[in-house]
Amino acid sequence: MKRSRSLRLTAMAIAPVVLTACQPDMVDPPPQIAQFDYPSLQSCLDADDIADGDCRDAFQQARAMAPRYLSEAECERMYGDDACEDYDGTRTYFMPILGGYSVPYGYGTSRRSQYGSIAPIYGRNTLTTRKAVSVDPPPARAATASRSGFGSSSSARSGWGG
Amino acid sequence: MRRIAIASRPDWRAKAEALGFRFHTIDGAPYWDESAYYAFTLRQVEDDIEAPTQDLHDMAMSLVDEVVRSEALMARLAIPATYWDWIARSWQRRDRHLYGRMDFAYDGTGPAKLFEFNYDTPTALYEAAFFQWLWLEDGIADGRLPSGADQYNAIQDALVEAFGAMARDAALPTPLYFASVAASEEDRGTVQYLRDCAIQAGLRTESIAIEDIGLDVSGRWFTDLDDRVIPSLFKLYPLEFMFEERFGPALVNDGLRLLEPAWKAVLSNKGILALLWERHAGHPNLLECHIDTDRQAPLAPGWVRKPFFSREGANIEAVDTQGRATRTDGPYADGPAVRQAWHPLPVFDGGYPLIGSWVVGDRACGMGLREDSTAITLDTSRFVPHAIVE
Repeated sequence: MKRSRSLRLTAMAIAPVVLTACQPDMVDPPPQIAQFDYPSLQSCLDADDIADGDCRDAFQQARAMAPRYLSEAECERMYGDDACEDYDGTRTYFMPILGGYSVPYGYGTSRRSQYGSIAPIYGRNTLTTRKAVSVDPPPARAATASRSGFGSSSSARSGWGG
Repeated sequence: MRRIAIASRPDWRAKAEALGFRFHTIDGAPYWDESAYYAFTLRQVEDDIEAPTQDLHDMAMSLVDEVVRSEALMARLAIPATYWDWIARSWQRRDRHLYGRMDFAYDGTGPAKLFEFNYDTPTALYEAAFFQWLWLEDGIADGRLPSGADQYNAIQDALVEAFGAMARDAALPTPLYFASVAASEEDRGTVQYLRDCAIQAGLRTESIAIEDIGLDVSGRWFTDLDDRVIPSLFKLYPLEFMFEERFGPALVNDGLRLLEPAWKAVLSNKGILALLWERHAGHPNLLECHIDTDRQAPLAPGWVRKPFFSREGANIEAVDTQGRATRTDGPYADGPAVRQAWHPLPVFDGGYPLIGSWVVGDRACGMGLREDSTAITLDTSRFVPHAIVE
């Protein structure tokens, strides 16, 4: 069955409703998949998250996914000055310098994760200079200094809903 | 895929109103239209809609990963530089996202063609996820539809599951406020529906109008009408509007967690269609697309010009392969645009259906069709239900 087995509305309807489909069936919820970022092949091999062969395989895939350009200038126009390197040593192709690669959790055991993908990470120092993000818990209250700072575009441009 | 005329339920209006569907008629014109339905085979749904939706979603997510790491790509997408780091941080934190809708042209044969992503503020959700489902159940119960009829629609399950995962993992500080523009009945209905799903999943929620949101003296904390801090905000309001408005620059102080998250700015932009084509040229579900460098240049036959931020079919110019030109007016006359290969919507009994294919969390989970009497879908289109009957 391609549809929900039962649907509820709690707050939106005049009175709460629970509706059940004619043919109940089981639907598995999707798994949540985390991604791991490695600055280099060696860091993946050292980390022991996945098998060494899968580290190499993922690294090759990430490298193969990087766009290739016929000239260094064309590549630099897209990725910035000094951000590109020779792809294979023959100066046939240029690609953005890889600062690492991203691998979905469990890669290698299922081979293809539907909920994550291998991705190249561009930029020489992207991963090493990335700062840890700390988020303070917000206070419960704050004195409002100003209102109506959002919403002005909707009157200027009526009808924007996608 | 067929369009089949069918009797309407005599009491559908009363049902709609009792179930919170107050925008079934918009400005006096019918929006919900159950005088016909589109019939699909299971193979059509699974092979031609569901599987490509999942593939394209995965491609789009990989592209976000690439774009947030590249200032050059952010610049090509006309994302203001003020917001680059903030967007990249939200991606690095893996801020959860909820939903998106892809629009496809499909006639029952051959590959569905992606017209665009609506990944920041998609609407037509409640009618697809809930009211369409109820229409099918009623039709089976009273014999107007075959007893084995089904529908590609686990959208609400996926919504409750996604909110449930946010609650379980404490992925957002709560309460989660739900906001839309006060004046739009349709938007308020969509947001009420999403809030209902969040409540069912056990999230603490509140609601507020976009215009009522306040900002404190530090410029970091956003507030409600009682000076309570809004820790998380679901906003049915375009990120690119927020960027241009007075409170926009305060977003980068990270005092407010947004849903859809900041990184959706990458996918709410039609420039992404050109970047996808650059990386996957010839993909059967993609139409050729390029960033349009000169918006004033005349269009060659076989091309459509769409502004990066156009919604509801506004400011679209098209020249078909015979050279016939059409254009729609709208507020997006300035700014960058893409040029996409012209591809006609199919015609069924005078109706032009556009398939909205939903992704919730990261899962392709259902669809809804909107039909128009012209080849460009506007916000005057009608929602027509579908069933899987073979």
